[in-house]
Amino acid sequence: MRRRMAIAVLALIGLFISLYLLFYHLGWYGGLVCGSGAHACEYVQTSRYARFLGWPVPGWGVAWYASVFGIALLGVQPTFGDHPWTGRLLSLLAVGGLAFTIYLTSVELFVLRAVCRWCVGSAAITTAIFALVAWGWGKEREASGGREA
Amino acid sequence: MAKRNRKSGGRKSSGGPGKTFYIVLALVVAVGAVALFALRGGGGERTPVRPMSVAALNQPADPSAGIVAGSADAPVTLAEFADYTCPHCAEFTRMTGRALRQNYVETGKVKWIFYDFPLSRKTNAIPAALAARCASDQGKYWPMHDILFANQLEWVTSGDPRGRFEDYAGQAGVDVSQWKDCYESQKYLPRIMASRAYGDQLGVDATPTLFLNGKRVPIRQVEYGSLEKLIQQATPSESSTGSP
Repeated sequence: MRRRMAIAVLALIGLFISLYLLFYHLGWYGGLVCGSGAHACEYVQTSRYARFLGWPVPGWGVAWYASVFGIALLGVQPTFGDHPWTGRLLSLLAVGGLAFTIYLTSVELFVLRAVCRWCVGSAAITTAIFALVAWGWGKEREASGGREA
Repeated sequence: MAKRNRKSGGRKSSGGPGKTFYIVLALVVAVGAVALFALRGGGGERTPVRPMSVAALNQPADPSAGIVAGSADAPVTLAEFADYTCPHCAEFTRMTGRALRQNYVETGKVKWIFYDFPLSRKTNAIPAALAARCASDQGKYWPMHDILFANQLEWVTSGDPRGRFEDYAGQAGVDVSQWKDCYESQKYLPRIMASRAYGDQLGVDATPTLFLNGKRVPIRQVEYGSLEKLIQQATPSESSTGSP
């Protein structure tokens, strides 16, 4: 329960970060607050890697975080808390999210050689969500081994 | 037999998370909304040269709007659609473009046409394209083009890159005051947007995009070795017998 509440809170924070970057992509915001220095967020956000399968990457982020938030929120409700699909969906999303985060972070570090701080923040949140979900796998294994969780 | 979950995780005896959880969520929403509102101004106002006229921005496609390098009689034509703010375009120029121009354009084998394809009207793409085009007035387009790409990280996110562009214009060897008059007038804006419109017409959706003798070069072949092979394959053999 506590894990899913933490996941919901983290996903909500990540959602706002993705919304900010998406608004920039859509041209609603003129620039990004990213600190000084040559390697700035806008350099990363205007590269070809800022789109994936034709969609802006922050758009995928908004969809992912909204899904994780929604499922985690459902997962703390008494009606759905024990439903197996809640955990499975969260696991699927967490693994997919982590894989995509590793890909994007690699592109920043090794291809663009520029670091967007907002992307780093989102990557940290995605990793934390994955860690919380993975921690739950360990707990489920213990429980299914006959020991009380 | 159902086991009671003793780890309530904040669950009240009636089930579900406690009030604290929803208060935390509400706080996150409030802070997030305030942050989105506060950050909407961005990290620095982009100062356009002056507001760009809608009429100048909306131009029909014009294949002659590119900048040509090399002999008009060259047997191979390579068209490049690029955005000055695009990191891949900078990498292409640095790793491939300059060497190809040296080895094939200057030797009369390839005619190179550079088309401006600014991906966004909100970045420094159009100001940079204007800066380069104004250098062309004094025959210094390609030096300015190379300097802009070589120093991309210095100006690409600047709120007002005019000062840097002026420095680059000086480095490129132009009369800076003449260049400044051109830049402030935005006289090349229609040509830049006509170039962009031509790219749209051809289906350009990313930069850099290359066309060799009118045929789009696959992205995996946009590198020196592959382009050299394509150019050699497209070049008529010098030893062919018989006149056409």
